[in-house]
Amino acid sequence: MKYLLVLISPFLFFVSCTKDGHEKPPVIIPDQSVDLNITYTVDNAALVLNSFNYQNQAGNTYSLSSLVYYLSKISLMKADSSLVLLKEYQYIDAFTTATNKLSIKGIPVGNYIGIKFNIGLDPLQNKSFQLPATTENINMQWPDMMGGGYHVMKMEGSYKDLSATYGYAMHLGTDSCLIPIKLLKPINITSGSNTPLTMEMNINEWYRNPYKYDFNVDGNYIMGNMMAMKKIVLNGNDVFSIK
Amino acid sequence: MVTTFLVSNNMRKSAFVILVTLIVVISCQKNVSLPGKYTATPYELKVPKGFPTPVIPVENPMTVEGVNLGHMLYFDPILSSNGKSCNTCHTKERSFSSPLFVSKTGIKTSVPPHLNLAWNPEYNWDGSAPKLDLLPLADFGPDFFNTNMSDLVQKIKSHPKYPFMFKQAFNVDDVAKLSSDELQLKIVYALSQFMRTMISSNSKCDKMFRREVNFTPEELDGFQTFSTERGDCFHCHGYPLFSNNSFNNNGLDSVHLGADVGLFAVTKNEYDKGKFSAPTLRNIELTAPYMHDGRFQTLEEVVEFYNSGVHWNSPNIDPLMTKSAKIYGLNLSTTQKANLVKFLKTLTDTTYLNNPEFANPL
Repeated sequence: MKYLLVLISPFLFFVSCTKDGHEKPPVIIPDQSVDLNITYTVDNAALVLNSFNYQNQAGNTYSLSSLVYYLSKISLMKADSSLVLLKEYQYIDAFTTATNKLSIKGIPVGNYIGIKFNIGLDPLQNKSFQLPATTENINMQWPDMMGGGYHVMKMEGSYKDLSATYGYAMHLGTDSCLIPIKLLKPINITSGSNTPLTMEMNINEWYRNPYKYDFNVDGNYIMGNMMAMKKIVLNGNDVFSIK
Repeated sequence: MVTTFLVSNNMRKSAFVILVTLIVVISCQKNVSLPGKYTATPYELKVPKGFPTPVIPVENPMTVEGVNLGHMLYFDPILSSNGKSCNTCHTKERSFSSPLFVSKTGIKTSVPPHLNLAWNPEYNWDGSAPKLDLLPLADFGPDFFNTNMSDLVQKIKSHPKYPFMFKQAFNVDDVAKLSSDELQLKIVYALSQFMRTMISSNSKCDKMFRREVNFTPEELDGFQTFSTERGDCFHCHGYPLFSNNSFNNNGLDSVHLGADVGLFAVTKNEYDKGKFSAPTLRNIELTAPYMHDGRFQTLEEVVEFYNSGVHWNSPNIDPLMTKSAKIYGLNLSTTQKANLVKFLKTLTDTTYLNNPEFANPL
């Protein structure tokens, strides 16, 4: 036992002390992060709050006064179809910069083929009073009498026709309006790297493909109108692109 | 020895009399000072289930002593030169709201209730008061208390309880050493601490959400109108606050002038003309008149406005108010309108009204 202590003691001394007698600096394990940034355009024009400078495929001249929505299951995709979850869900207000920027650390090193997420909450989360009771989440509640959970998206503004200006409200809700998105782009995450990713939403895509959406024909207020909501949902498949 | 004893005994008596007199004089004199540091007890606000995190500024943390002081001051006419207290206008019967207020310049304002104020991001119909903690400062003015600050200082100093309560709540050794602004600030901080405790969360509607009671068929029909596209009230007045904590133009007027410009008065943004704070609907039955200028006297009038009176061409009207392109109005039946009012009355919270913690302590 004595011999063991004699043998171990110098080792402990060298391990616990550096030459100058101070503690060793902590070992820094390289970490990788992804900085996700969401931006908005209307075709090639910048999105400006309340500006009436936009025209959709149907020829409606419109403005946008509010755009709030959830993204959920935001994940990086690998070639073998496996996923690395970046964030479970994110409330986004297009006109509040901070909600459009996500910095996620601890991303495993590797090659990824793109990013995958849902517009709207995952069905497991999309239940009434499931999310923390923030003012934002409360204002996104979808009434129980209409299926419960939370709005997928609330996009509101005004549009003009020949005689007057009217409001519009493109509200989506219930699990049937969840919009799954896959954006392909090689993303190489190396040790210690910080990878910026920019996703862009083109507002006009909500009204273009596959359905040319006309406020005057299809309705300016779609909540509760499943046929109109479905058109917007299907159009929503290509509203995002990755830069 | 005897003489010595007698002298000594007289001296002791005299010393005792002098000492007692000194104590009485010191304790009764106006310039009483309470040195030393008092550590107030943090007040734990009980947030009802489903409510968001309340807004409590770091500069005015809630304490038991601060709330107690605010409670006293809320009911005490000591703050005014005209016999008024906060409670003179904000009465329990009106859910601590008041009848229509008409300013000296003739501007009419409906007074929202003092209820769940801990969750408001801004105050006043036009958002002109960013903090509850500063909101009551205006009450010292001629429209309300018309306070004489010199008198107020003396009244507080000579009060049997307030000097100690200010010491407990804010470590004020001597209120006379505070400037008028400092004293007013301490008073409104205490008032706002008390007002943050005024929480309503036990109406019949709350109990229905908690599965403790059922609505009558009429109330349920009204709730359906409220919570679906039929009436579409929920977008701006959703559970549990029954307010979206935002500003909206509900189409009350087609033009916005003077006091009707709303949020524009604060932001100077043209898009904010006609936007007003969406008030909570809790205890709405008790808080007539309605709208920012109190133009509607009954809930029936309010419902009829939303059913058929919205100015859909109002500049900056909320998009939610112009449903069903070019088709005007909700087209609710007489029964649906009556049932909607019955549902609104389920938001009356008698537990809140009768809470002894909000009763007059004086």
